[in-house]
Amino acid sequence: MHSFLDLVFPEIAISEYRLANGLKILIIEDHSLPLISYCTFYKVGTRNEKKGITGISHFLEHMMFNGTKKYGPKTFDILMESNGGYSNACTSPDMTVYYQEFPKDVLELIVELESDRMVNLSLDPLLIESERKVILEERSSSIENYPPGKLEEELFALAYGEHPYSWPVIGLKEDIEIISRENLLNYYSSFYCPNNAIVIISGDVYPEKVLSIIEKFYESIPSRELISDLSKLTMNREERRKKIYQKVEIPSFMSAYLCPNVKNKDIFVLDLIDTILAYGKSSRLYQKMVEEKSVAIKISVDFSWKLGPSLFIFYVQMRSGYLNEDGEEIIYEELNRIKKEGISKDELDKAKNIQIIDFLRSFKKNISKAHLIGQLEVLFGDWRKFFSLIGEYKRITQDDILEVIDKYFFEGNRTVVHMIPGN
Amino acid sequence: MNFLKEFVKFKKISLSNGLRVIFLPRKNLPLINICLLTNMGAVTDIQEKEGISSLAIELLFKGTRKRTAFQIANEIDSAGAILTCSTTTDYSIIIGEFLNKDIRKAFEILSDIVLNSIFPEKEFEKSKKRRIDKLKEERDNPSYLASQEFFKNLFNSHPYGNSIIGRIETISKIEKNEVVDHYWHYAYPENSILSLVGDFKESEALEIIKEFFEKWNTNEKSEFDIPKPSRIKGRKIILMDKPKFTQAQIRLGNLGFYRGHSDYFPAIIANTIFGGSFTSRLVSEVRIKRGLTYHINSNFLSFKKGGVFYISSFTETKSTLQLLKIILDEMKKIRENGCFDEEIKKAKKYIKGIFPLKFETNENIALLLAELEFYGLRFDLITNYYSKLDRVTKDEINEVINKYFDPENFCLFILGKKEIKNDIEQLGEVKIFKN
Repeated sequence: MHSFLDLVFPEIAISEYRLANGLKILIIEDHSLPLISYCTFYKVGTRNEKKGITGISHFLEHMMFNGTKKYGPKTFDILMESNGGYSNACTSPDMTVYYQEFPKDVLELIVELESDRMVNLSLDPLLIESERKVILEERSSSIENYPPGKLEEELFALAYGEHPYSWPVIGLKEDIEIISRENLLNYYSSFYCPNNAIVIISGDVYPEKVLSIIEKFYESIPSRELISDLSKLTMNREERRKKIYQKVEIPSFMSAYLCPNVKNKDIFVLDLIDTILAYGKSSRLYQKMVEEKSVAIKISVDFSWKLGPSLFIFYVQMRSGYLNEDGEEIIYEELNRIKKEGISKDELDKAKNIQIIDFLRSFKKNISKAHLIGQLEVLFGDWRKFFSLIGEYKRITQDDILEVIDKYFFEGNRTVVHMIPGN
Repeated sequence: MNFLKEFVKFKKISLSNGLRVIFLPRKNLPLINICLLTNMGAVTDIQEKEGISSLAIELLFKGTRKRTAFQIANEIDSAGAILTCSTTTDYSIIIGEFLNKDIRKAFEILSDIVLNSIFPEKEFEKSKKRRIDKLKEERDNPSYLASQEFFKNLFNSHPYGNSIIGRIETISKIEKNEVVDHYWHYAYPENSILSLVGDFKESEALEIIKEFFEKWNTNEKSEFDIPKPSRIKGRKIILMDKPKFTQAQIRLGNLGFYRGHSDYFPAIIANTIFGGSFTSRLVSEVRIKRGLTYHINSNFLSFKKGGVFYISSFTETKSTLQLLKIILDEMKKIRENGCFDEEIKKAKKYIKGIFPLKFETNENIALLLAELEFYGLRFDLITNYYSKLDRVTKDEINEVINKYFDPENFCLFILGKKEIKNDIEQLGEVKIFKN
């Protein structure tokens, strides 16, 4: 087994600034194409919501494209496209990200538009109503009419109980239907401010020049007092299970273990466990479930870093004629096998190699570099985590894997939802 | 367009067995990207054996004279590499990404699976069963289902309507020897193109490629003739009853044009204005003004000998007719009044602005170079992209609109509830599709 631990990474030049109002600016230079990626991270997401206004972070994300006092509805997109750029956004449990890619000569316009909607959003009542319908259609296509979306919604609800991560990012239907202008305005005033945002500019730029444009447009926006919000969650000690019957063709299930947040270094070990179990066709579970025993069409693992408690989720689509229980048993057997026999040095090195080269892949695009740096800043409070990430994986030992598997992968820490064909 | 200078430097050579090889060194990351394209797509599927091309290419990873399926997967994963395959209507590709220090390993594994696959019986049976179950699962995917059935009905029995991954009834009928014969019928050097982009030394790469690919035996030329697809005349409306879905999926369109057709530049401008961008007419009317959907777009799709222009959307069941009427009205409007100078200016700028993104990653460039060669397109299509776009006139755009945006002749496929049949009949005769 060769090792990539000595792989030479390309240089990455990042300049960091902070304005007096608290806005953090990170600039990543790359002159290979005449393009710029511009990302604005707001530290707000599902975790800041409560029952009654679930999905409001995502609702507000949609409203951010619906006009400000200065620029009317849709002007943002019109100006964007007529200058040769595109724009989009995404909301997640911990953050809301707005991003654009455009030719380098239109930077000033983008800075103006993005800074304007940080503080001057209109929230026109008529547009709120039409956007509400759009969001309900989005929800319908991604949850009600999409079996994996439905399964995930049920899993989060059961696993997270009262914690805000228990509802989907898009929100519950009954809340989307009633979120008011006042709710949106309050939420906007609470979380959209320079001291709760990070701007990342990646591409064909020169830091000094960019900074002067940023100062021109953002400097006058006042900072605000931020409310602390993070809900706590105590680990359950009893397995939670649910069966749902749907008109689907094949059985499927999710089985998830409650895992720690980003403050705990176990997350890096969990990344390697994820890789060992389910990355690629040579992974343990793919081999067992899809190849050897041939009971499943698909097995995947999702473990993502979160500010709050995370889930290590196994998702399996069974072959027709097999039961979800058959799939579950194979997963638990494999976890027990690792607990008993451990893993070899080669297997550990292979997992580390995969993690490291995956990290290298994030250097391919301006936008993926900006996203990575922004996520590190939001999750770890410091984008410089970038430089120590490889070290985190490097130092993991075979014993660490065993210890972490023992610590989290036990029945009482598990939530399981089965989707079964039927009425 | 300065950034394109770097890309013009690619080199093309032919090996003694006819394999065309295209190189482009780019030293941005210590990686190489490979693309091996073979002229074997859904269009070459044997009649009533739809899905055979994609099944054949997938089986290359299931065992060779030197390696078991697990060994293939394990060597790729252990190198932190990616080696995967996919099939389109026109061709199949194997694409790979390796660390540059593994360049030899990359071509050794690639040549092993392409030249030495043994298609083990057991693996064949497993892959076939898995494919059938995958197709069962897709029955729960309304978007996939609607697109499949739309293309099938638009093209009638023409092979451009073939489903890439096949259908349950066609996959069940495929025999192992048919897959093997099918693969060797199309997989030979003169029928394939190999492209390589990334951080490598040209002379070294060429030596390695020769070592592993010059032994690839050439074959009798496989001739297959794709008949010209014919346009739908009148309104062909089909409703597939799926009572379990609360939304209706909508696909509406007719034939477009082949890759490399002179309508390309005016057509992409027309499409950007009509439904191909977030500020297009369709998105504004349907999503922004009325909130009827989360997604609507229009698209030109081009193959070697033909193409499609179509609109794709979904909406709450009860809004289906309303949404369809808007689509048809917008088509009528743009045909009658043409598009405005402002819109044309904006569309040109938008297309130009996002164009460099196609060149951001080496895997995109590797595929682009292989595709240009496959479709017989010249690289000046890329280098002169901006000037070709600039030269397009308003008349040319309106001509294309009249040709392809046709509110009277189209195939409309709706996947929804049969209760809406009466509503939809306002647009024409509706056939209920049995599944």
